[in-house]
Amino acid sequence: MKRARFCAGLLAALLGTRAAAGERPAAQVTDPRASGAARMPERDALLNIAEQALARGDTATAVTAFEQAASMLHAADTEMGVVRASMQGGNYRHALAFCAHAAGAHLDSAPAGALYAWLLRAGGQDAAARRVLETTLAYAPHDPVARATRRAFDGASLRPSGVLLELPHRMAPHALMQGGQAQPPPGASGVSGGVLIDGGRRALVPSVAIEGARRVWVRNGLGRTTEATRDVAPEHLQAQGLAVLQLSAPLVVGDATLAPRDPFAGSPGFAIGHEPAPDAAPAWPRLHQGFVGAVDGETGLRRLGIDVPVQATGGAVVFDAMGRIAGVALPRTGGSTTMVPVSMFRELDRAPAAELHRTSAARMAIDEACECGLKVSLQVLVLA
Amino acid sequence: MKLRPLVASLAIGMLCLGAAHAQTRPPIVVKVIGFNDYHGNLQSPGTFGVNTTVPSAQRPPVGGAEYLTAYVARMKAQNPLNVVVGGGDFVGASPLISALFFDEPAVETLNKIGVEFSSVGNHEFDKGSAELRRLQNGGCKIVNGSPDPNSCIGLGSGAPGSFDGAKFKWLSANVIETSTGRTLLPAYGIKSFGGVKVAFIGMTLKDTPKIVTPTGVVGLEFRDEADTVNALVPKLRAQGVEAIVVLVHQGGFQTSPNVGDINGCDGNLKNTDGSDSDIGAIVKRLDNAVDLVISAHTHSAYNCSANTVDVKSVNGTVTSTPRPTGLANKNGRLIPVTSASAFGRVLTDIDLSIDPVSRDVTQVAVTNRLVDRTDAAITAAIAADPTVKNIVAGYNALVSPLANTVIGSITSALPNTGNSAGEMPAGDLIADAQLQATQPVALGGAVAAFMNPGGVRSPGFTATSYPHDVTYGEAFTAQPFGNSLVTMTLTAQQIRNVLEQQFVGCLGQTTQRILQISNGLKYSWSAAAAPCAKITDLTLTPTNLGVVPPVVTAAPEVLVSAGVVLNPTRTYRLTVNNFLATGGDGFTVLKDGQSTLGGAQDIDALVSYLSGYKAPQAAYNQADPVFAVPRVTRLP
Repeated sequence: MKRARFCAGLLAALLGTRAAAGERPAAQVTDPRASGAARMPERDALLNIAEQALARGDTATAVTAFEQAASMLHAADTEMGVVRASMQGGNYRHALAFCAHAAGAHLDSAPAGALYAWLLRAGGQDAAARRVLETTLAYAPHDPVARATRRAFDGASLRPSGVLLELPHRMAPHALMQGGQAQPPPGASGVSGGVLIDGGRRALVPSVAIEGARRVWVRNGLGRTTEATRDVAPEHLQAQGLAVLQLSAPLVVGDATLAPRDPFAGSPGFAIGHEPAPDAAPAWPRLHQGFVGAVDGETGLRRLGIDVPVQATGGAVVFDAMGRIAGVALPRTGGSTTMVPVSMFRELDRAPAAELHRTSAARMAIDEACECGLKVSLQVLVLA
Repeated sequence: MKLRPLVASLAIGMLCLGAAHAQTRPPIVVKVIGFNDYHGNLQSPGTFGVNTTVPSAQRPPVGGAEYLTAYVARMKAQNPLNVVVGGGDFVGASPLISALFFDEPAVETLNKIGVEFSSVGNHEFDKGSAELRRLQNGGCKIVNGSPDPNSCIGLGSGAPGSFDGAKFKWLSANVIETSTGRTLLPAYGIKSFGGVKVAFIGMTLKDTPKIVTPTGVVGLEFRDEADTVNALVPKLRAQGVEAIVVLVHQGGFQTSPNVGDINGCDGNLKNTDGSDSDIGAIVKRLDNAVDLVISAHTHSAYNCSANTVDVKSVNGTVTSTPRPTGLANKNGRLIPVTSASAFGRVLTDIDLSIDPVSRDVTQVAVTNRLVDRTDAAITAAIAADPTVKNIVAGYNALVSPLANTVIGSITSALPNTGNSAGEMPAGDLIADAQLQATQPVALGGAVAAFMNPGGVRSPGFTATSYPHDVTYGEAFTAQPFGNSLVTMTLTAQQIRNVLEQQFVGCLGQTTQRILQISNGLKYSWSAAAAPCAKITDLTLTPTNLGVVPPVVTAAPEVLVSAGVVLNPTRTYRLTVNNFLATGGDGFTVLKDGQSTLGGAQDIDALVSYLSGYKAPQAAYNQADPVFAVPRVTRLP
């Protein structure tokens, strides 16, 4: 039904923009087999296989099926599937590059442009995201996906809802429970962000976020979700407002490692985190780039420095310029934003030394930082 | 008319002679390297397998401009008679790393790869024909009368701030400007190999107007592909060309059994209903003079030639069977037709054997090859010559939105021009930033900072109006070297010696270089005094720069009075950059500093310092007495 609705929307858009000029829809021009109806049921079956695989986290099967479908028809829906499969696999850079092409090559597909804009914004490229979205809307001003994307951009939050969660453009990961665990029950909600540490076994989260919670879960940007329990936190972290969670099932950390030292004030950095939500729906985190702040002479707290909406500050992971975990962001009363530097929680990380230090001192590109952040930036879900 | 039998006889005789001669001369082998639909993919587009039977986990990462360059170089090294050609869509629908810079990075990397001819594709028209011409001819992108700041970055051009344009020729045989009746760009290109000419005709699909922005193709007519080629054949033959390669931005797909092997031609690219694919329909009408078709557009990889293989997977067992093929032309002759996927994943490696006498192609050997990033020899070649890798890395860094981020505001110009005493407004700011970054005890415990004047780059911090928001990009222009800060312990005597070493003739100094000094320091120097005796007085007023505005924290301390160091052995913590710390600019005294501690980069210190003067806080106003300017006095 969702695909049917998409197709109906696509058709409407085409009728409104191209067909009125008496032109053939682009798909028929770019791929003669659009008229080869014989294989289209086979293609639809492959897309279903791919979507089902994606929904259960089997990215490899999804990619294979999407690629087979892509070889049957050069179409935007297949390419968006490939993009989402890349995201589900944690390959933000590939997803972004391929979505750039999907959006550019399928101007008739406003959802492709909207998805590209969404990924750009999630990756900290706000200006580019706006340009892409406006271009998309110029082609399809009435497209519901593009319009909903604009509303999300204009709003205070970048959480997808409604039409934005439909296929084939779905702007969020699937929720994938680790180790056969049950999904968080209705009533669970996303209360803050958190940071995956200790080789994926533990997490640092704002204490206030889990205060009084009956149950707690954490979920990374790939949608991988596990229940967690409160662990003992060192006093100095408690004093900072951080709690430690022990994960019931470990999550994959990826390439992210702890920085060997606290970042210098004024050095470039990234903050990537999740905003609170009224439900437990999965979402991709959002990255912000900026400059790490200095110690506040009055409070003795380290200023975050990076401009992040205060509601997205809680538990956001801070990367230094080399893409290493350099701190955890926390909001403070009065609206200021601070960072608990890595030197204060290094002791919690039992990862082997070789995993702690990247050998390369090269600065990490913004898209690579976003890719790293997908895995270590957590949504914190609680059942009050 | 009567001469005709004679001419015919002569011609036959010449042909026979030629044929006899050809038997004694080996064919000329020309290597043609083709690819298509690059779409500005400077970076790897991910993994890719030679066919769909290869499990996802076993597919190697592929592509990337530096790997394309290295693979092309390897192929070229195999045969000096070579040419690199493209099937179009080299630009457009591209990732941000290229799109943000108007696809200039794509063109620059294609230049480095060594492309010589390419057809235009539909995406070459995404931004209109004028923009395509600019990409061909070079020059900066002008927006509202001014060069766009994201144009002419020039990392892969002849000079920074420039854009060379494509060194290859985009060909558009079937794209006609309606106002002139001429092709928008050249219809074909010819290259000679050992005296034998090979022509490359370039075209895009005639349906381009239906799939691009209408404004992109205003004033252009797109003509039938096969008709265009066939009309050109006599013209080329009149120029002595018999070997003709068509580069066309149109394509097809392999069909059942469909494992999509990059060297397959499953179903001979026919549609599922048995009809000809678009590319098949074009080839079917081509003149017999055409020897090879390099196609594109569908992003498929296929190899319809003498080297075609049928790949099948039965119960997990993969077999590959040779099946020489091609697509039939209007005479029924099978013509090799190729395509190299997209995004730089695959290169088509073609050996054309050409009869040196008849000048016609006698054999075509085609192999599609993955641009495999796990090839150790290729990776080593890139390490040996990282030119393209550096271009990609450079643009990737510039994609960051950081450059336009405001880091602080200033109320007046802070140029890098020195006054008569040698003091620069920009130098004062930078020295203060370096002191602020190293004042905390854990970060150095510095009480003063020295900055070398040559490290304060032009123009400093200036604008057309004030207050002015300073961006990170501007700050980087003034502080581009990425130097790190070093805090060291010096005695009062050493500090005085450093200041004396600013002047020619003292302690080996050969050029006058007035150091920029931080807030709290003040001194005078005498122009008439002898070398090593110029500093007449020096005071240090401890000042906390970690607060806004700065605050004096203790009474002034006199280090030098009337040319005499009052307490020569007393020590102070002083910050310089690593260039000065190692004796740069002739300041060898600084090499004797003790208890050195490395710190932040100079640009980081500047960003951090200016953050105290960023809205909503008051802008940095150097005229405010708290900044204690001037700090250096020149005496007669």
